[in-house]
Amino acid sequence: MAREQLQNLTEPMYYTLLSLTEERCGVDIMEAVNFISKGRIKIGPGTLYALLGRFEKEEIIVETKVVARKRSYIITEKGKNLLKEEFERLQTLIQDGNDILGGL
Amino acid sequence: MVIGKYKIVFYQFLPYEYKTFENYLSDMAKKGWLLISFNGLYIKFKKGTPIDLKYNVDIMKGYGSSYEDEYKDYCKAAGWIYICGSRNFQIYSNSDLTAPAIDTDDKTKFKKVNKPSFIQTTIVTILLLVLLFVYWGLINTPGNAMFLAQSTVIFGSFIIFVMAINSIISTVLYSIWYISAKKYLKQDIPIEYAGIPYTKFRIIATSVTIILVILSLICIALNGSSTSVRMFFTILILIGGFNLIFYQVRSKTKGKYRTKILILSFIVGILFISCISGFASVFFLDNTNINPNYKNEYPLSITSFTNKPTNISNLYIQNSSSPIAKYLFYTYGNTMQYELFESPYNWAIKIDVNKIFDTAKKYKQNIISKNLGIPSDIKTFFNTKLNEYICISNDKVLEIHYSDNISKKELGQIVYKNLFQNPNIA
Repeated sequence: MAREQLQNLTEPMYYTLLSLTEERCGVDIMEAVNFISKGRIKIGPGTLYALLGRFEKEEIIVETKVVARKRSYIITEKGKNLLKEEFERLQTLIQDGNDILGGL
Repeated sequence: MVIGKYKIVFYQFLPYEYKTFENYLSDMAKKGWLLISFNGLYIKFKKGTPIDLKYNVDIMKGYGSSYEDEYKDYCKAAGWIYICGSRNFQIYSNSDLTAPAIDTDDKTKFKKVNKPSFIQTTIVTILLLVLLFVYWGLINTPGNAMFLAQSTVIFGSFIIFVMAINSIISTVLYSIWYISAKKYLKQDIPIEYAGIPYTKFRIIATSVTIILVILSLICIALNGSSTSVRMFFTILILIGGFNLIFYQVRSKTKGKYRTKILILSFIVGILFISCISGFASVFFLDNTNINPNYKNEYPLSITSFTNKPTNISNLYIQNSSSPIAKYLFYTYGNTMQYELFESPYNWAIKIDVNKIFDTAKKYKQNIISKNLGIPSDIKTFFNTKLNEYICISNDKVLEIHYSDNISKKELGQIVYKNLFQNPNIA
C-alpha cells in the first residue's frame, strides 16, 4: 500500500499532489506549489525531481505527455485517494484541536 | 596556483562536506574568482568582477540519462544556472541569495550525499589496507633486516604511515557525521553540513599528508641510488598516468557506454603504467655497485683472508644505506660471502638479530653458540646448516661464510681486527 510506504505526506508531498490535480510539468509544479501555499512552501528542483520519480514508481501520478524534454504529469485515482485520506486526517487533527483549544 | 587570469586549486572536500565547499566557492566569488570548471581533482577559477553568488553542489541521480537536461531545466526555472561538474557531481550558481536550495528536503539531500561519501571513504580504506598488506609482505621477507638500510623502504614506510593516519582521521570523522546525521533525521532536526568544525581539520591533515608525501618522494629521488630514482619516476608516472587517463575519461564520458569506456580506460591505464614501469626497471636497473677500490672501501674483503691475486669477475657487492642503517652484501665466488648490517640504533640491531634467528628456526637450521676467541662483548654463533658464523656487537651484525681452510680462531681474529676493533669503519 502506498499509504504504508509513504506514511504521512510531508508538506512538499501534499502540495505537489495538490498541484497535480491538474496536468502540469515540473517547472509548472514548482510555481503552482508556491502559488497554492501563498509562498509558504518552496520546493527545490532536486527535491521535486526525486518526489516525481517516487510518486510515478508508486503509481500515485502518471506521465501524460512529453513535449521536447518537458514531461507532464497528473495525479491518478490511487493518488487522489491518498490525498483525500491525508486531507481527512488533517481535518480530524483540526477538529480535535478545535474541541480542546476552541473554547480557550 | 595562479596562472595569469586563472587559479587552480586542488579539490579536497568529501561529498558530505558540500556545504563547506559551497561557502568556499561563494567566498572566492566575493574575491572575484569565479568558478569555471571542476573535474573531481582540480577546481579552476577565472578572475572577474567580485560578485555575491550563492552556489549549490548537487549530486544528481540519473546522471547521463535522458532526464538530465530536463533536470537542468527545473534548476534553471528555480534560478540555478549550471556552471560545471564532474559526472553526477554538479555545481550550480544563483544570483538570488535568498533562493531555496536545489534540495529542500533533508532526507533527499542526506541520501544523495551519504552514498558517495560512504563509497569514497570505504574505497580509500580498502586501498590502504591492500597497500599495507602488500607492503607488509614486501618487508616481511625471511632473512635479515636489510630493508631498514633502504631509504626507499624507510621513506615508503613513512608515506604509508602518514596516509594511514589520514585515512583513519577521514573514516572516524565520516562515522561521527553519519551517526549525528541519522540522529538529526530521526528527530526531524536539520542535518549539520555547513561549518562542520572538523572539515578544516581534515583538509589540513590531508594537506600535511600531501606535503609529507611529496617531501618523502623528493628525499627518495635525492637518495641517489638508481632503484630510488626508478621508484620515484614510477610513482610520478603512476599518479600522472592515472590522472591523465582515468579522471579525464571519467569527466568527459557519459551515456550507456560510459561504464565500458571507464573499464577499458582503467585497463589501458594499468597496461600503460606496467609498460612504463617495466621499461623504467630495465632502463635504470643497476643494483650492483662494484667499486674498483674495493680494497679501501670495504675493510673486510677477500684480501683480508688471502694474498692470492683477486679476480674481480668473482666479485658481487651490493650495498645500501638509510638514515637508520647500512647494509653490505659481499660475495667472492663460492669462497667467501658475508652480510654486514650496521646501525647506531639498538632496536634496529635487535630487529636484524631476531629476523636471522627466526628465519633459521623457520627453515629448521640449527644455530649454536661458538667461541671465536674474540672479546666477549661480541656474541658469536654458528649456523650448522649454512656453515655460517654470526657475530653480533652493539652496532653491527655480521653473517659470514668462508669455505677455504681456515681455523675458527683465525677467522675470528681477522673479522675482529677488520670490523669490530676499528670503530671508524664505513
